[in-house]
Formats: sequence, structure tokens, C-alpha cells
Amino acid sequence: MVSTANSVTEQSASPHPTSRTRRRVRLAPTSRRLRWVSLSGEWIVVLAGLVILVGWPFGRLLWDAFSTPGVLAHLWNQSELTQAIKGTVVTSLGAMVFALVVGGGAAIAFWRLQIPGQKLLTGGLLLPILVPPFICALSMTQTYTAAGLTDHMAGLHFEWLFGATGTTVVLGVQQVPIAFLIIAAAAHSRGSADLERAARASGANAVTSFRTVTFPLLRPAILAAAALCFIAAASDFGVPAVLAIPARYATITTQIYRAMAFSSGGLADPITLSALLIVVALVVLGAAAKFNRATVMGSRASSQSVVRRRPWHVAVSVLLGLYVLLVSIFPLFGLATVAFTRVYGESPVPSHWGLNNLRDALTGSAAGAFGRSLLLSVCVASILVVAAVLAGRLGMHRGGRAVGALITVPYAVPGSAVAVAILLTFGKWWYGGLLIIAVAYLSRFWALAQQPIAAALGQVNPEPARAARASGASALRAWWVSVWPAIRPSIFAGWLLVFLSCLHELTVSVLLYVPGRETIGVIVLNAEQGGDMASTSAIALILTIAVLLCALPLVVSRRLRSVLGFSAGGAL
Amino acid sequence: MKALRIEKLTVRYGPVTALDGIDLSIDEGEILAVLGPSGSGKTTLLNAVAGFIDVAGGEIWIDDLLVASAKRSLPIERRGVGVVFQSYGLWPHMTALDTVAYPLRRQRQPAAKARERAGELLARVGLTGLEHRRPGLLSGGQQQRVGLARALACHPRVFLFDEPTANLDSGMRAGLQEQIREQQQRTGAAALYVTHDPAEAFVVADRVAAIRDARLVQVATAREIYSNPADEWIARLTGQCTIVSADVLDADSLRIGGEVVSGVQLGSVTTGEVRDARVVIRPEWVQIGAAGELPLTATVSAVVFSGAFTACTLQTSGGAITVHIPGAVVLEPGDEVSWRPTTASVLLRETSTLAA
Repeated sequence: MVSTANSVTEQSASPHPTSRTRRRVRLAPTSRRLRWVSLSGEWIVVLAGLVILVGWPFGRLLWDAFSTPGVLAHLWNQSELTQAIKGTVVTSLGAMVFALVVGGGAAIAFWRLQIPGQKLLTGGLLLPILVPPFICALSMTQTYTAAGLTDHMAGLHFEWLFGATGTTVVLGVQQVPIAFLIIAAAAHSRGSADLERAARASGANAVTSFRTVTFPLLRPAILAAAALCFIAAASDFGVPAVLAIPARYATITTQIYRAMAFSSGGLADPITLSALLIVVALVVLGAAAKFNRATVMGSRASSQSVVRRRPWHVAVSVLLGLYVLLVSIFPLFGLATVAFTRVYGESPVPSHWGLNNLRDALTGSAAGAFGRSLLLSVCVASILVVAAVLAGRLGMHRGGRAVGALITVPYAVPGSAVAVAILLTFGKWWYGGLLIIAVAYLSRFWALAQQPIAAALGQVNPEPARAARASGASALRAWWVSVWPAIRPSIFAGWLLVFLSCLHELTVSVLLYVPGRETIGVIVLNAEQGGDMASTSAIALILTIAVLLCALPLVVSRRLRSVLGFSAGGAL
Repeated sequence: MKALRIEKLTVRYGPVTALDGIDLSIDEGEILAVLGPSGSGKTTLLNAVAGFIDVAGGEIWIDDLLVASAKRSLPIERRGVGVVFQSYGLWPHMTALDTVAYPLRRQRQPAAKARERAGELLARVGLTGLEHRRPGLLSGGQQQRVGLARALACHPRVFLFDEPTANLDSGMRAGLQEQIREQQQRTGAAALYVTHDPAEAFVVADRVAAIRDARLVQVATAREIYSNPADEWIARLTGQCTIVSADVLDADSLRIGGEVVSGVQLGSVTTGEVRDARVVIRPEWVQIGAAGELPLTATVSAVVFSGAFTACTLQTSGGAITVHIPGAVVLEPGDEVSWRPTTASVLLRETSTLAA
């Protein structure tokens, strides 16, 4: 009421009631034009990049897939394809449930209970982010199947790792970090301790307050995590390539690979399957993003736990520790023992140890592949951080959101679909070289560089730059003095993320390479499929160590750590 | 009967002692404000009573029920407390009506009855028409009134208010304080009201407990603690003041800087002469007049008009003192004036001695 009265008096008191609005109208076109001129160069570069890397290839793919009538009917009529679709749905749903139970459970437990060793366990649970999926699968087989570490040590081998069950479990292990990070973030941002205290003070016991307050607050995040885990699992190629193909179990991504690598049927089936994956991924992730955003803020209060440490909290800690040991630590150990055992199949005792596998890996065809992967990674990462800064500056203007959304598309959809789209669009000119792989990487990983850099740019306080300009600095100098230091860590983080992702990339390059121009991921997969386990393990071990070393700054630096969440969180 | 009784309460966070031997009790229907700066332990005291944290020693009794000691900790939901939080503590996924009905549902009231009762409570705090809004669509003041209605619905034996107005702007603050006081009086329950704002403590509470570095340093009625603070720290905590050095000559005379003034209303000390006493003079306890009119002399050194009063700094023989004079005055820096304190309070102890 007071405010209404105020505005009325203000208006009647003012001699020219519209003078304010009129002035704004007169000024606006000039300032907007000025901004437009200064940004138009960046717009052209960014738009050109978007057209080449996103619009054209994906438009072409979707057009090819859906312009011919009866595509879906064709999909359902071929039992091979329906089997693949069924395989993907079954393993991805299973992996999603696995990830939600382990990752979500751990996130909630860490937040609500007094679990000893939380920091260490968190690191262990997040470890799969840093280990490429196909190497994770590979290390599992080297450790737990016939002639693996457990077989040598205790005569135990678990052949169900090959096939639907193993694929599901290992895909699940890979998605645990996503579920953990999303649900933990939601728990910390939404679930202030006061909300639960209020419920308890209102007469609810611990169980009731969890059911009526805590869980409903986390539900959107749990749904979002479920959607992301499902799509990430459905998009994965490395795990089913190692675990499903030997058992003749098909998923969509392995089917695309088979169709492109071994059959002469042209691109028809891969295009249709890719289009299907893209549509499903975009619909599911779009819905998930909406869910997660539709929820409300929690008050920012202390987040100390209400619950006291109980003896069974230690049991939870031990259980999670055992899990980390079984799925991350022990398999890497198994991988290492194979790499260090001179002759494959011999038991891994010290007398059989040798460095010959590692030496062969570093001198043979793998050495060239390491070089190619490094070159690709450095170039792509460097180009993308520049693109991300340019696009990030646009993000603050009109149309910036649309640009951001478009950039996210190739990272949100499966890598196989990106490869098919790029091959379909640029294959006739560039197939056979590294260039086409580079273009596919640029398309796929732009979002990885974009997210941290755009976020940093969005948080830059404009005042220091304005102060610099007011003190006589040129625009460039003002940017260098005030904006650059603020975004430098994010640029480093974005670069490193893209670099790492390219270094151990398999899904895209396996569809685009030609013999003699393999990437390191392809070399590992081919050696594995050729049955050469010793060199497979040796190369995989070197690659894993390289990735872990490069990722160290991301894990150690607190400022960079948040970025890891995005690389796992994908489109959200 | 004592609705809340706290005996020798000690709380530790690791090596830090957050509360050290607190003794306190609150009658039914009484509001006690816990006043202290941040970090003094006032919110810890509230958290210990609510059961949000464990206690290391001592006992907390609500009515005749031992709710917390080093060995025993009654679950929060069985303590019979109603908490109003600083940042409201409203559940973002619930409407105002559901929020207020929540404690009633926990008391096993049928849904329809709980909602009807919740509607009444919301009407009581003036939120009719906003029952179906979620916290995101309510202003801060409205959110806190939902919080108050929820606490009322708990039918607590002790209300716990944790700086309920700290996140509100000053206009809202007064209204909410009044509402809290009124609703609490209606229920007749005891209330512990944590705040860092002395004005709020005086408006809301019957008694005020000053807390400093984990210990209670003075517990008294609002008037008593304002007019007779036990030490300099409490004097400054409870409001603006100047502390001058003076000799107390008898029950109503002081000697300040060699000049003698009588007819001063002195607080507690009445026996004999005290040399070099430290005397609290609040800005509104001073009378000011033309030169020679009143017993003490001074020179005006600063004049600041602040609306309801004008703040003048006087250079007196006992040092600089701040004086508030109602309305506008025609003084200027450099003017010679005379003055006398109408009231003064002699500090009984050094701040460093913290015996409660």
C-alpha cells in the first residue's frame, strides 16, 4: 500500500511524467548499435564455428534420418537393430539403478551421517571419472575373468563380466560419480540443516523428517541424475566394446561400430541409430534440466549434520571402501600386473616380471598413436578455449543462451552420433586424415571448455574493468588487467578437461580413423580385440597413468575441482 | 513454575568451549532475551536447548523433564520446543498451509482438521489469502510469519527464537517483534529469544541475559540492565554511552573533574564515598543549559542533527561525552554551555572479571 501511494505521488508531482521513458527510448538504439559493432566480429567467428561444428552436421544427420519415410518401421523390422536397442535400454537402465543406489546413497550418507573417511571415499568414488570407460572395462577383465589376477591368486574367475550383466555393472560403476556429484551438490545447496531441524522441532522423528522434507527436496536432483546416468550409459561405447562384443551381446553404439567397420551396407543404419540416440538424449536431458532447475532455493544456513555418529556409520564407510577397492583400485592393480608380467598368461609372481611389454608399447605402433593423440589433444584444447572465451563474451548478450545451448548439443549426445554426423557431412573431403577427427573433437568437446569459462566470465565483476577504463586504460588493457586474472584458472581448467578428454577418446575416433592413423584409444581397442592382452594392458596402463598425472591439478586444486563435476555431469 | 531450567551447562566444539557453566531459568509466559555479539555463544545456547547439538556437561530441564545432559539427549521432536529460525527454515516444496499443518500432522491430527487449524493460525499472524503460496513467493516478513505460525502449531512448552528478525528490513522488524510478543503472551509458554540487537531485546523481552565469551555476564530486567549495567562491556552492549571517571560523594552527588554536581539519580551504589569510580552516562541522561545555568561547564565540540534528536559532543572537565538532545538545537561547535547528568550508573566491576 505504501509503495502504491509513493508511486502515485511521484507521478503526479513530476511535471513531465513520461520524460524518463522518453529519454531511455532515445538513447537505446545508439548504445545497442555500438555494442553490436564491437561484437560483430566475434559473432561471425562463433556463428561460423557453430554452423560448421553443430548446425550443419547434426542438421544433415537428422534430415537424412527422418526425411525418408518409413525409417522407424525399418528400425523395428530388423531384428539386429531391435536387439541392439533392447540391449542399450536394458544395460543403461541397470547401470542407472546401480549408479543411483551407490552414488546417490553415498552422497546422502555423507551429507546426513557421520561417515568416517569421507574425503578419501569421495576421491575413490570419483576415480572412474579419470579412468577412460574402456580401460575401466579392460582392467576388470584383466582382474576378474579367466587368467586374470583373481584366477591366478585364488582360482576365482567371473565370466558373467562378459555380456549383459558385466556391461551393466561396469557401466554403472562409470556413472556412479555423476549420480554422486549431482545429488551431493543438491543436498548441499538445497538441504540446509535448518530445514531438517525445523521438521524435527515440529515433532517429526528422523525417519519422518527424511521422508517428508529431505527426500522431496532431493527428488528433482535424483530424477536429473537418473536421466543423465541413463543417457551417459546409453552413449558409452568403450564398455560394451570390451564386455558385450565378445559375448555377442549388442548395444546401439556397438551396432553402429559394427555396421561402419565391418559391413558394406553404407551409412543407412548408423544414421538411423544415431538420430534415434540424439533425439532420445536431447529429450531426456532437456526434461532433466527442466526438473533440476524448477526446484527452489534453500536458505543458506549452516550445514552441519544433525545426526551423531553411530557404530553402523563405520560399517557404511567400510562397505564403500570395499566397493572402491573392488571396482577401482584392485582392477588397476590387475591391469598393472598383466603389463608387468613378461609373458601373458603366466602367474604374476616377481620372477616373471619384466618391462618388455611397456618397452614394446612405447616403441611400436603405439608410439605413433600417442604422438597423434597428443597433437590432437593440444590443438583441439587450444582452439576450444579461444572459442569458449569468444562465445562466453557473447553469452552476456542477447542470443547468448541459444549459443550456449547449441554448444552443449554435441557433448550431450553420444559420441558415436557425433562421429556419424561429422563423417556424413565432411567425410567426402576429409576422410582418412586426422583433420576429420579434429573437427569431430572440436564439435564434441566445445561444451567442456565452454562451461567453466562462460561461468567465470559471467562472474567477473565489471567494476575493476570500468575503474581501469576510467583511469585511462584502453579496452584491451582494461580486459588484461581486470578480466584475464579472474578467468585464468577457468581457462586452464577448461583446457585441461578438453585435453584429457581427447587424450583417452575412443568412441569418436574408432569410427573415423583409417589404419595407420590410429589414436591411442583405437590402438588399445584393436590390440584387445586382436587378443594381445599384454600390450593392451601395457598401453592402457601408460595411458591411465598419463591421464591421472594430467588430471592431478584438477583434483588437487580446490578452485579447479568444481569443473570436474561438469565433465561428469554432461549437459546439466 | 520454571518452564526452562538450565544448570551449569557446558558445550564444546572440539577444543573450543562454546558455553561455559551457564545457569539460567525462564518462567512460564516469560520471554528471556539472550543478548550478545556474534560468536558469544548465544545461538549455541538455543541449539543446545533445541537438541540440535549435544551438551558436554550440565543439565537442561523443560518443565520437569530432563532433556539434555552429558549422558542423556532427548530427541528433538520429544522436547516440546517451537523454533523460529533466522533464515526462516521453511521447506521450499511446501505451501504455507502445509508448512503450518506439518506439526499438527505429526501430533496425529487428521489431515482436514490440521489444515483447518493451520488456516486459523495463518490468519492469526495476518497471512489470510497467502495459504497456498510456497516460500519462494513470499516476502521475508511473510516467510517469517509462516515460521512463527509453524512454531505456534507445535504447541511448545518453550519457544526458541533464533534472531528471527535479523534478515528483515527495519520496517518489517518492528511489526514482527510485536507479533511475536503478542502470540507468545497468548500461549503462555516460555520463550528464549536470541538477538544481537539491544533495542530488540528490550522491546521483546521481560528479562535480558547478556552473554560474552561463552559465559552469562548479567541477567536482569530490561530496565535494570540498561540503567545499571554491571560492567563497561555490558554498558556498551546495551546501548550508546560515555564512561567518565568521577568521585561518588554520597547517594546523589558526583565530582567530575573537580566540579561537584548533586541531585543525580544514581543506580545501585548508595553507601559512602567512592573515589575514582567509573560512571556510565547515557546520551539521554544529560541535561544541557546556557553557560552558568547548570553546575558543570563544557564546550561544544561537534553537533550532528539526526532527526528525532541532535547528538552533541561536549568537552567537559571529565573528558568528552556524547549527549542526545530532543529535536533540533541552535548550538554550534565552540559554544560554552553548562550541563548536569540527571541519571548515572556506577560500574561495580571491571570487565575483565567475569563472575556471572
